[in-house]
Amino acid sequence: MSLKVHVAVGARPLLGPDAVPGDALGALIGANIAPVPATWAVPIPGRQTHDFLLEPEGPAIAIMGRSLVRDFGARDEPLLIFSHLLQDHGDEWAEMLSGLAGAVREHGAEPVFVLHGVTLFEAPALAQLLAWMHGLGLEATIGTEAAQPQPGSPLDVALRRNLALDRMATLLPGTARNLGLRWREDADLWAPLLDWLAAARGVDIDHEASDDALRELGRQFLISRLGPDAK
Amino acid sequence: MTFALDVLIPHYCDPDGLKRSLDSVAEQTWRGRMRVIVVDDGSPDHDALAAQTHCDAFAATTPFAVLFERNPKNLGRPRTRNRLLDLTDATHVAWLDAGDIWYPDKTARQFAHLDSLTAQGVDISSVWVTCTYDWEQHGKARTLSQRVGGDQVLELLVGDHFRAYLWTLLGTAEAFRIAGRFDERLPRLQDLDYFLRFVRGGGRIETAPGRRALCRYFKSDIGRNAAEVHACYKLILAKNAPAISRYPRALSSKLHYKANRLASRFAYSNGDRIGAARYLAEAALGSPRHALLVARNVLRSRLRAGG
Repeated sequence: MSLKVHVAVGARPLLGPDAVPGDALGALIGANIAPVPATWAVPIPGRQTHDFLLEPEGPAIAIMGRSLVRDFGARDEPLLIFSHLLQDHGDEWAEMLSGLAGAVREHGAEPVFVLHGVTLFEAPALAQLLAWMHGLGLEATIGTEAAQPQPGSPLDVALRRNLALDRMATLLPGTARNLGLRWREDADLWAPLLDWLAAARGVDIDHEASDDALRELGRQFLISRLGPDAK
Repeated sequence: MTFALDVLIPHYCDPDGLKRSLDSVAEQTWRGRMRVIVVDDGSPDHDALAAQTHCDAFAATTPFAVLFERNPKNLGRPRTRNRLLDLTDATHVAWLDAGDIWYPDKTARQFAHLDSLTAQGVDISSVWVTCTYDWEQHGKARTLSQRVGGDQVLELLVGDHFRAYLWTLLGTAEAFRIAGRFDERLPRLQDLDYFLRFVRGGGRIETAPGRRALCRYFKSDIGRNAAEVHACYKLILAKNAPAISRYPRALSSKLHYKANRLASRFAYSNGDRIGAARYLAEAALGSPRHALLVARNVLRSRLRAGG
C-alpha cells in the first residue's frame, strides 16, 4: 500500500516563525489534503509546522510514522509543513526524512512524498529538492510548483506577516543600538514578539510596510520589554 | 486491509438511536481507516431491517467501512458485546452504544492523547483512554469529567468521580485483551465488571485532557429491571470481594448501601413504589451508618438550599 505524504515547503521566512494555518495551506494545495495535527507534540490548535520532527531525542518520528498510516487514508491525505526544508536540507533533514519513511514502512505502507511549493512571488526551486530526496532513496514527486494564496485570505496575511517579521529581525539590532541597548541574537525572541503583536490591538504588519514603520514597531516592542521607565 | 479503529456498537430495537450514533461517527474529524461493527441483538425484523438500512447508508456516504451482523435471537448485551469483540481485528478499539453520540473530535483527541503518552514513554498496550462526557437525563444535561488519579479500583467501586462507561473508551486492541470477555452472567452493569477486571489485571485508564465533553450519553432508567440490577451489583461485589476486603470496612458497607439504593432508583423510575421502598429499607437496615451519613448530607443540602 502506498501512502501519499504531501509536503509543503516555501522560502524560510514564508512559513515561519509564526506557523501558518494548516487547514488553509492544505486547501490551497488540493482537495482532501489535511495537515497532520500532531496535537501530542504541538498543542496549538490550527497552526501547524512539523519542524519538531528534527528534534533528535524522543519517539516523535516513530509516532508520526504510525500516525500517518493510522490516522489518514479513509478521508484525507496527510500534509506535513516544513519551513526550513527548502534551504537547509542537510544531514539532519536527511536523517529525519529517511527515519520517517522507515517508520511509515514499519506500519505496512510505502511513503511517496509529494512536494508542494508555497509562494507569494517566485516559485521555489523544487527540482533541486526533488533530486536531493531521490538521492536519499526516497520516492518523491512534485505536486504543485507554486501554490499562491488568494490575496487578502488569512493564509496570504499569515505569509506576508512572516515575511515582515523576517525583515524586522534584520532591523531590530539597529533599533536596539539606537535605544542604547546591547543586542544579542536570541532565537527565543519570536514568541514574545508575536505575543506582543497579538496583544497590541490594531497592530498588524505586512511585508510591504516601510523600513521606518517596521523600525517603529520594533522600537515599541523593545520598550515594552524594558518596562515603563525606558525611554 | 487492517483497520486502525473498529467502533463496536451493540444494537437492540433502536434504529433511530443507531442512526444518531452513526451520524456522529461520520462527523469525526479523525481521518483514519475506521470500520464500524454493529451487532443487532435479535431485534424484531422491522427494527433490524431499519438498522441495516442505516448502516448501508453510512457505508455509502462516508469513507468508513461497516460490518452489520445479527444475533438469531435476543442474547443480551454481554453476549452481544462478546460477539463484537470476536469480530474486531483492528489495531485500536472504541465503543459506542446505539443512541449515544460522539462529538466530532472525540477519536482525534483520544488518539492524540495515546500519542502523547507514547511520547512520554508510557506503554500504551495497557492503557484505555476515557474522556469527559455529557450526561443527559430527563432533558437535562451536565458535563462530567473522569478523575482517573489515585486508586482506580477504589474510585471505580465508589463511582462518584470515575465511572465505568464503555462508550467513553478508546484504546489499543492489546489493552482491551487485558479485560478479556464480558461476564455473560451480568445482563446489567457489565461495564463496571469489565473496567474492574482491566484495572485489577494491570491496566491503567487515562483521560483525554480538557474540560470539554467528547461524547454524550442519553440516560434512561425506564425498562431496566431493578431486581436484575440489584443481583448484578451483588455479583460484582462478590467477584471483587478480595479486592474490597483490602479497604476499610466502611467501604463494604457503602457499596452494599449503593447496590440497594441503585435498585431502589430503578424500581422507582419504573413505577414500582413498593419495590423502591423495600430496597431503600434494605439499604438503611443493611448499612445503617452509611444511610445516616447520606440522610445527614441530604438534610444539610436541603437546609442550605432553603436559605
